[in-house]
Amino acid sequence: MGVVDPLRLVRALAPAAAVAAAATAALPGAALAAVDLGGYYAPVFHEDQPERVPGPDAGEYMGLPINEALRERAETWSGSLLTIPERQCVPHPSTYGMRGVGNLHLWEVRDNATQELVKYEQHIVWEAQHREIWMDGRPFPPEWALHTWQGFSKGHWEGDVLVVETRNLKPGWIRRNGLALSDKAHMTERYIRHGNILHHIYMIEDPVYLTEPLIKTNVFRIMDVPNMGAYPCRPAIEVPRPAGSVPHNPFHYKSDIEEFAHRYNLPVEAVEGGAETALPEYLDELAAKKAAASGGSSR
Amino acid sequence: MTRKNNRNRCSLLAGLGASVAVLAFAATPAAAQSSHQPALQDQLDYVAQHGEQTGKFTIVPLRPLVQVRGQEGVVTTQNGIYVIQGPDGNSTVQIGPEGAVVVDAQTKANTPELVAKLKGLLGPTIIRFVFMTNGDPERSGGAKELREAGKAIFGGNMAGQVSDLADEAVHMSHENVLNRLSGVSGDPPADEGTWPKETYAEEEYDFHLNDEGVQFFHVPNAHTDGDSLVFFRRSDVIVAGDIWDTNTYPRIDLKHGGSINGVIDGLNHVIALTIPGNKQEGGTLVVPGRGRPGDEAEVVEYRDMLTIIRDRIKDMADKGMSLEQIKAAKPSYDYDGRFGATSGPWTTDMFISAVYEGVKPQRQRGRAAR
Repeated sequence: MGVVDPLRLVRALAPAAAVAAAATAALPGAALAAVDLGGYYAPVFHEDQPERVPGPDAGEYMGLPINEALRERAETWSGSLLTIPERQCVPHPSTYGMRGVGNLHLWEVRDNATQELVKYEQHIVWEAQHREIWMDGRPFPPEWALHTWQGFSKGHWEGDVLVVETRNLKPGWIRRNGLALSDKAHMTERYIRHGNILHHIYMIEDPVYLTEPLIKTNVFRIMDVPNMGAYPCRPAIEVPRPAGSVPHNPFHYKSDIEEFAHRYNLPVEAVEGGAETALPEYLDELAAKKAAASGGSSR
Repeated sequence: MTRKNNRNRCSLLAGLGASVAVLAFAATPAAAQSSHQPALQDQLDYVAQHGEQTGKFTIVPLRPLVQVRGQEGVVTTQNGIYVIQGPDGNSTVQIGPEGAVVVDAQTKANTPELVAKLKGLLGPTIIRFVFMTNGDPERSGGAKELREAGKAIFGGNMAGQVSDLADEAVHMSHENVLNRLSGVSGDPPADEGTWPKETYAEEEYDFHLNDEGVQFFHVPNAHTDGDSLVFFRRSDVIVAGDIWDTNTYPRIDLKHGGSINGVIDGLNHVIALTIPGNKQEGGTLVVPGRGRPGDEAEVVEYRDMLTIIRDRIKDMADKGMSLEQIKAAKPSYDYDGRFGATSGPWTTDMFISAVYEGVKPQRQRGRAAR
C-alpha cells in the first residue's frame, strides 16, 4: 500500500545528503536560502492514494511502527468522536497536514531592512492549517510552554534541502483512523524542490506510541493558477447527546481490524501493524507461518 | 529582527518588576507582513523568549501585563496572568492596577523561594488575595507567608480599628478546605496559618478586581471535596487545580472526598466554560494543578481519556471482576506510557484503585462498608 521502507529510504537519500552537506560547507552563510521554495502547490496523490483520498479504513494499521499501546488506543477510537463539537474544527497537526488533502501555499518572510530570511510560512486550505518555520535561529520553546497543533518549527538549509525540526506539538495523529501521537512526539522534515515538483519527506518520533521513527513522503506540484480559499469552521450539534459524552469502542475491540482484514483478504496480524510489517521480508515470514500452520512448505 | 528588539514600540511601564514586561504581539516586521498570524503560535514564541526558569520555579507568562502611558496617565489594557511552576505544582498570579491575586500557595518548604520569586515578578504591586483550589499541603502550605506578604484593600467604619485585617491579603477557599485544615471534618488540624480566613459554601462565588470579574466554582467530590475552579473572565484564563495534571493521571484523594466522576464532571465544567480560538486553538487558556498550561483541546483530550478509562473499569466491575482482576486487565494500558507511573506519590495502581472505588456496583460498596 505504498509504505516506505525506512531503511531503503535512508540508503537512497544518503548520497543526496552528502552532496547537500558539501554544498552547505561552500556557502558563506547557512541562513541563505539555497533555493526558492515559495509557491502555490497542489498535492499529488499517487503515493498512498487510498489512505489519503478517500481515507484509511478503520482498523488499517499495517506498515506502521506502532506499539501495542497505540493499537489498543486506536481500536478504542470511534469515528463518532469527530462529531462532538469540541473536535469538529480541529485542523490536521503538522505531523499529518502535508499528507492530507488541500492546496499548499508556501512563502518566504524577509526582514524589510536587512532582507534576511526570517521564516517560511505555509498554509494548507483544509481547516486553515497555518504554520511558521523560523529560519532566524531563535531557540525552541521549553517543554513547559504552550503546545500547538502545528508545533514550533525551526528550519535550516543543508544544500538545497530545507530541513525542519518541530517540537511543542499537541497530542495529534499519524493517520486519521485513531492512530494517535502523544505530545512528546517530534518531527524532522525535508523540503526538496525539483522544478515544479516539491518533495516532502517527514520523520516522526514518539517515545510513547512508536517503536521506530515513522518515515513517509509526499509530493506537491506547483499550480499555474493559485487556488486558495478560506476555511471557516463553527461547531454544530451534529448528534444530540448528553453533555460530556465521549463516543468510543469497548476495550479490546477487534471488529474494525477483523473487518478490514476480511475485506482485503489479509492476515489479521499483518493488519495490526508494527514496524516489522513495513519490511519486504515480512511477506516471507507470513508465508512461513502460514505454511507451518498448515503443516506444509512455505513455497 | 526578533520580537525582543521591538518591544519599545509599545509604551512600557517601568516599576512593575523586571519580569513583567509589556508585550506587543504584532511588533515584529516579519509578523507585520503576515495577514493571519496565529495568535497562539505567536504567544508560544513569546513564552520561549520571556519565560523564566531559575531555581525551583519557572514563570510562564500566559497573558502578559500590558500598560500604556497616555495623556491621562497609565492605563492597563490587559491584566497579567502568570503561572509559577514549582516542584509541587503551579501557582497562578493575576496582576493589575489594584494589586495581585495569587491562586495556590505551594508547600511551606518552598515558600521562601516562592515569595522571592513573586516579589521579583510583582515589583511594587501588592498581593490582595490568596486563594487555594484545595486543602492539600501543596496548595495551602505557604498560604500564611503569601498572605502576610500582601495587604487587603480595607476601610469603612472599621478602618484603623482592626488593623490586622488590613495588614495582610484576603485568604480564601471553599468551605470544605477550612473544614479539613481546621480538623472539623476529622483530620488532625493543620498549621493554623494555612486555614483560610474567608470561605464560600455555594456553587459559585465571585468578585471584581483589576477591572476583571473573578469567578470561583466549587467542583464537588473531584480531587477532594473542596476543589475550586478559578475563572479570570476578562483575561480568559481558568485555573483548573488538581482535576487536570499534564504529567500524570489525576490524583483522586478518596479520604478527602475525591472521586473519578467528580473529576470528569469538573473537566466537563471547564470545557463548558472555555471558548476555543479559531481552529480549536488558544482562546480560553487553562492552568493545570501540575504541568504545563494548555487550551480547551488539551482538556478535551484528558477528559476523553479519563472517560474511556472510567467506562472500561465500570464495565469490568459491573461484570463482577474484582479490583485485582481489573488491575491485571490493564484498563489504562494505552495511556500508561504517557500518564502512568510505577513509583512515586501517585502510581497507575493507585489511580485504578481510586477509579474502581468510584464506579463499583452498590453491592460491593455495601460489602466494603460492612
